[in-house]
Amino acid sequence: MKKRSIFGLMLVVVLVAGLFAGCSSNTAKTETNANNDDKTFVVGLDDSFPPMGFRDDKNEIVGFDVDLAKEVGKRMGMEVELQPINWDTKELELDSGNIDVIWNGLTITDERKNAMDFTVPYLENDQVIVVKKDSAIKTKADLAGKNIGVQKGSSAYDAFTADPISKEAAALNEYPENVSALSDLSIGRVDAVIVDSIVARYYITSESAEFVILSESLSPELYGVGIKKGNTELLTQIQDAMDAMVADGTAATISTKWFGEDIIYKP
Amino acid sequence: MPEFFIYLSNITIPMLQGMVITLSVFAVTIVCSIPLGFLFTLMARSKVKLVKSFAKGYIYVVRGTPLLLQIMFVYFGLPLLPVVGKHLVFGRFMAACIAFCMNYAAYFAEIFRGGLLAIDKGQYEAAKVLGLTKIETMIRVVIPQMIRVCLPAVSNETITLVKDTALVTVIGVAEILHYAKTAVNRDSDTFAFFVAAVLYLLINFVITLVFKKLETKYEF
Amino acid sequence: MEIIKVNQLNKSFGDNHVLKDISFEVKKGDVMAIIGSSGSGKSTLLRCLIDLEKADSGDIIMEGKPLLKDGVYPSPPEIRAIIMKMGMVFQHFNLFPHLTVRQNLELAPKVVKKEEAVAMNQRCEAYLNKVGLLERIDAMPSTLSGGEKQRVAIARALMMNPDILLFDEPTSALDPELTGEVLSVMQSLANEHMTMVVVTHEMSFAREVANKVVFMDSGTILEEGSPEDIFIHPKEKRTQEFLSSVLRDQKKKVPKKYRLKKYC
Repeated sequence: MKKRSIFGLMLVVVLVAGLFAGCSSNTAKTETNANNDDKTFVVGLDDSFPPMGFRDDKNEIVGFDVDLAKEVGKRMGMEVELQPINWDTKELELDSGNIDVIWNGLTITDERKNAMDFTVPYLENDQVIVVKKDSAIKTKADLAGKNIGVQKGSSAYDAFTADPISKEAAALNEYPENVSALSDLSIGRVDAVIVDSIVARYYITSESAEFVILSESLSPELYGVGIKKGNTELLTQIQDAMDAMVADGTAATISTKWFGEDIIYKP
Repeated sequence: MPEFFIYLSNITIPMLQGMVITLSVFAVTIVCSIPLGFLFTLMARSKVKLVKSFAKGYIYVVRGTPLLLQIMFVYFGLPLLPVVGKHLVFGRFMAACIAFCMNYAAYFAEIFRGGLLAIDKGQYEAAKVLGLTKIETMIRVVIPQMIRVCLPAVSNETITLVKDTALVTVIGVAEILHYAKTAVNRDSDTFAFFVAAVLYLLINFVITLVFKKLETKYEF
Repeated sequence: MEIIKVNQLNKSFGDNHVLKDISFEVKKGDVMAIIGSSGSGKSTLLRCLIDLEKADSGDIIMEGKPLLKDGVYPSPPEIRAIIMKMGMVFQHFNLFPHLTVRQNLELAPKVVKKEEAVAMNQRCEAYLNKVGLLERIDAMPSTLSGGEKQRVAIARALMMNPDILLFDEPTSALDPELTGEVLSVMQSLANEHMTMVVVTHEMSFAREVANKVVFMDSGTILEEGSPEDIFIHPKEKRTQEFLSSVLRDQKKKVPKKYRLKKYC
């Protein structure tokens, strides 16, 4: 009889510990479903997308977009909560109200405009072609007959497939993240990788000079902040804050911190 | 060399935090889905047609759809249901646990059904003529024997469960693999994935040990 | 006073009419042997007596209380109360393999009757001693021989103090050398005036221990009477055929005299 009660006690302890540990972790802090909970500004991001939003050595979430968001939150008088999400389900997260915005190097596209609202663009970005230093590929046309790598579900993928050169490529390999694509580039499994220039520049400085970026790029695109469709109140608040930041130079400071220069997009 | 260890600890510590979540989901699922699964086993054997069909239908649907989709359904889909939706809004961790419990209960239900089939009818008869009620028979005679039969299959499911916990990342719950990914993307170095693999192996090593002990204990 | 009264009992499995208008009586202290060829319905009859099979029509009255009246069963608690006074020993023993011998014996008294531990332990040891297996009290069933398992099964049934003991071919699954020890235990129970109904192929037991023999053939009781009536003066032709074929086979077996070992 004793054995059984000890076992039962252990079970209860395990269950309670499990629930407690889970619930008190980075997730369910203010798990209210209200958009515009007046106090908290929930920013949804993929925390493995440097330099826009990623985790540093101390596992804190940092990045260019993170700094912008924090500043905006401060100016709106709200507490900023950074919520890592799965990039594939970002629209669902936005629509369900679990996050207030998507702010993570989010490219503005016409299809996405159908699903959500955007702020005025704040950053310009190209899709660039990255190749090994000694590669024979010098122009976009040289991509014909070659193996190309992209991150799956990214605007790099969309840009490449929209471009006519994609029909002449030998193969298009998709990777869960850009790092794997670049790794395969290094090995030689792909001949070129299409990626956001912002991201490319981050990696290429952190790698040795193994790669180069071709000067010819694919479609230019613009980053904006995504908001649930119809949430005009929050959109206006954010937009006002960002405009103020551009005007008084805060945005430029943040940009210089991450990119060495002010590359804020001014339409 | 010391920089290596500093780097190793930098990437491992967040993964250990993620491991807490992995183990939490694991613990909650095991504790809840086993009894729930047994309940479904009994329901599937019920003489009440409605109960039996419900249980069988549930097992079929849950085993026939990917766990990944089920997690997303519990978290994103339930709140969208008419009428009951607004009462079914769950936090991320809770939604993950619910989806896991419901999913694994279906698999355990089938395992236990197999276990029950292995129990000789004579056991039930002997218990009956000795005067035991159905419940007493189940608790004292059938289940103890069933445990021995089911242990290998349960051990299998448990090990699968540890690895399935990586799926919670789809609704933004950070566990081991998630922090491996953030490290990999930050450093453009896939080393962190190897560390993650080691951590999973460690967990499974402990589990395998536990089950070995259980099998010797329940041997007769 | 009859302790068991069966009247016009019928049972079918689908189209197979297995028991046809069975009627008989058992008095307290009787040892009734049911013999017959395979498929004659002997086991089914026994199982109906203890509610392991549901009969279709007829009466079964146990110690004055109806287990079945005109084809209608009473409520489950009432059924349970009736069969609690009975015990059964199975052809395949049906010991609980995950429990020791002691635990096998003590399970039902502990759980069903909530018997007090000390008294229960003593009774357990006494019954095991009676069947000659006290030294195996902490053994697991898998370590016992067939004969030992069956003796444990008998002790287990006795722990619940039944008024009637049913035996469903208790020695059929045993090697011939082991039947003696079990039959010996059964004989000692008979000597203590336990009411027993035994389905068996052991003709020597039926002849020498039973005081009443029933011969079944194709679902009916073809002949019944004392052992003398059946074995020495069988009236029916089928009875004679059956007896001569069975006794011929059993003569070939090693004549293990169960009287050799007495455990009482």
